[in-house]
Amino acid sequence: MAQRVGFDEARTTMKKYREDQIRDSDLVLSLWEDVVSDKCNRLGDELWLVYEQVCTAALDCRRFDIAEDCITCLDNKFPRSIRVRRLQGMYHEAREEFSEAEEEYKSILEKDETNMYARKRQVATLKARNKIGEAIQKLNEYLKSFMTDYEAWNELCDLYLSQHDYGNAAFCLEELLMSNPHNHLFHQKYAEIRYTQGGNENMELARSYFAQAVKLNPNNLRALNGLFLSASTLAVTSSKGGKDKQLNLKYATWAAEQIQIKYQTQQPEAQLKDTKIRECLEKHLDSLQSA
Amino acid sequence: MAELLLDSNIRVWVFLPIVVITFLIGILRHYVTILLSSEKKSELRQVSDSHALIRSRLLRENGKYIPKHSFLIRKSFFNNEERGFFKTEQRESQAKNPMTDPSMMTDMMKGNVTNVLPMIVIGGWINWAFSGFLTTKVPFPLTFRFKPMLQRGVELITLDASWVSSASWYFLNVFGLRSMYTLILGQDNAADQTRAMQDQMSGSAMMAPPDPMKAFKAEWEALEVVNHDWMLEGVEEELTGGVMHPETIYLRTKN
Amino acid sequence: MATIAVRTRKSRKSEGIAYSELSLRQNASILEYCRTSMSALSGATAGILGLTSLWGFIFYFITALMLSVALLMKAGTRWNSYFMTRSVLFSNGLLGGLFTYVLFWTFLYGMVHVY
Repeated sequence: MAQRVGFDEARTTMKKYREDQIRDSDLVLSLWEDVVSDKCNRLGDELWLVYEQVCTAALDCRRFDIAEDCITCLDNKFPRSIRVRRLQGMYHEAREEFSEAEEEYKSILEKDETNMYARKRQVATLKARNKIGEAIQKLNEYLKSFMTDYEAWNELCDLYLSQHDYGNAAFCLEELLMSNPHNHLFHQKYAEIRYTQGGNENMELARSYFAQAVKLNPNNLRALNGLFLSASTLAVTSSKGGKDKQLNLKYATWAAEQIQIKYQTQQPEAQLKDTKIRECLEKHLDSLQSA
Repeated sequence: MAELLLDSNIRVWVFLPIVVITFLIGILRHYVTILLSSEKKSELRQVSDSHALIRSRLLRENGKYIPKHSFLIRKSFFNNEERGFFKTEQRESQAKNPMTDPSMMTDMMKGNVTNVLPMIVIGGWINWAFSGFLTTKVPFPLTFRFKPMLQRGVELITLDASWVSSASWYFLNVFGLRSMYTLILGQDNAADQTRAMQDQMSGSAMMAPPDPMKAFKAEWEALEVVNHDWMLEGVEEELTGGVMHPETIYLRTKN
Repeated sequence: MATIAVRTRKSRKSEGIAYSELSLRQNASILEYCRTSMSALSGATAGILGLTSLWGFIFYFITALMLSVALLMKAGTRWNSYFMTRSVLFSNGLLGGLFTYVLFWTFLYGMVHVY
C-alpha cells in the first residue's frame, strides 16, 4: 500500500488514475490521507479535480467524513455547479438516502437536460434499490437519446442478463460489437449468450463468435472452451448430415488440442497431474468420436 | 555595398520588445479565450440526432461483425419506409439567423474580441510605436521581390533585401511563434488560431449538423446501399487452418 | 525530449491490422513535439554560431536528419507497431519545422551578430 510515497509520486499516480479512469478507491484514499491532504495547497488548480476524485473514492469506501469535507470545499469554491450537485447526489446515494438523491438528479436535469451523468446516476439509484425493471426502462429511455454510449449498452446488457432476458441482452451486445469490433471479450460474451439461448442456429452463431474471439486473442481460454463445447454440441445435435458433423468434430478436436497445449505450457509438472479437466476433455472427445 | 551598423539601443528597445510582446500576447489570448469560452449549451434534440447519425455510421462500417438478422433489424430501424427513424423524424432547419439569436451574437463577439481585435490593435500599435526601424537582418540572401514583405515602413530602394523592418519583424513573429505555442501550451491551444479554425470545420460537422434533415437524408441514402457481408463467415475454418470446402459454403449460404 | 508513446494498436485481423486512432494521433503529436523542439534548438544554435545563407539551411537538414535517425533507433525494429509507414519518421513536420528554425535562426543571429 501507499507507505512513504513522496508527494510528487502520489500526485502523478492520482493524476494517472484520474485520466485513465482507474477505480482503485482504497489506494486513492490512502494516498490522500497519508500524503496529499496535508500539503493540498501545493496542488494549485489541480486541487479541485483531486477533491472530486477523492470524494468519489471516499464514497466507495464509505468514508463519509472525507466525502463531506470534499463536497463542502467544492461547494464553497463553485456554488451552484452541476458537477458538485452530482457529487452531492452520489453522497446521498451512498448513505442510501435514495429519495434525496433522486431529487438532486432531477434538479440537475431541469437545469441541463443533456447531462448524461445525472441520467446514468438515476439508473444506478434504481439498480441500487433493486428495481431492475424500472432501471431497464429508464436506461432504454436514456439510450433512445444517447444511442452511441456503449457503456450504457453494456450496463443494459448486464441488467437484461440478470433478468434472464437473453434476446434483448444479445441485442445490446451487438451494439457493443459494432462500436468495438476488435474487443475479444465482447465477442466471447456474445457467443456465451447465444450458447445459453440454445438451438442449432444460435449454437452455430456461438461457435462462430467463440472462434472469432479466439482469433482476436489466442490466449482466451474461456473462448476456447466455449468453442469446444459449442462445436461438440453441434456435432451431436446437428441435423445437417455427416459432412457438417465431421467439420464440427474437427473444430472440437482442434479446440481441445489448443486447450491441452495451453495447460501444458502454462502449468508446472506437479500441478499438471492434478488437473482433471484434461482427462474430462479427452473423455468427452472420445465419446463424440465413437458416437 | 557597405555593411550597415545598427545602434545596439535598437536591439534593447525595439527588437526584443517586439518578440516579447507578440509572445506574451499569444499566451494572454490563450487564457482570455479559455476565460471567455462559454460552455456550449446544446439541446437534447441535437445531441440525440448526432448520436443517431454516429450509430448509423457505425452500423454501416461495423455491421459486418453482427449476424445478418441483427443487421437487418437495425437497418430497418433507421430506414424502414413507414416507421424508420430517418423517415419519421421531422426536424425544422436550424440555420438560424445570427442577428436574431442573442447567444450566437455574443459568441461571435467573443470570437472577434479574442482573435481579430488584438491582431489589429497590436499590429497598429507596433506600427505606430516602432515605425521606421530596421531591426534585424535575415541570415540568408533574398531577392528584391521580398522587399515589400520584409521592409514595410522603410522605403529605401538601395537597401539590401535581407534587412527586416520592425513592422515586418512583428508579422514574422506572429506566424513563426505558432508552433512554439503548441510546444508550450499543449496541443489544443487557443493561441493558435488557424488550427482552431480547422478543428471547427471538421468538428462541428461531426457533432451538431446544422440541418439535421439534410444529414438524415444523406445517411439514409448511404445506409440504403450497404449490403451485409458477414465477417465471421468461415472463421472456424480459418482458425483451424483448413480450407473451406465448396460444398460447405453452399450449405451455409443456403441456410 | 519526449519518448515515443508505447500505446499502440493491437489485434490482428485477417484483412489487415486494426489501428487505434487515439494512439496514432498521440504518436503523431509526440513526433511533432520532437520536431518543433529540435528545430527551435538547432535554430538557436545556428544563430549563435552565425551561420549564413546556404550553410544555415544545410545545418537545418543535417539536424533534421539526425533527429530522424535518432527516432528510427528509438523505434527500433518494432517501428511497425507505432507507425503506419516508416517514412513518417522522416517527413513529418519537416517544412513546419523549417519555419520555426528560420525564426529562431534570425532572432539569435540578429541578437548576436547584427548589432
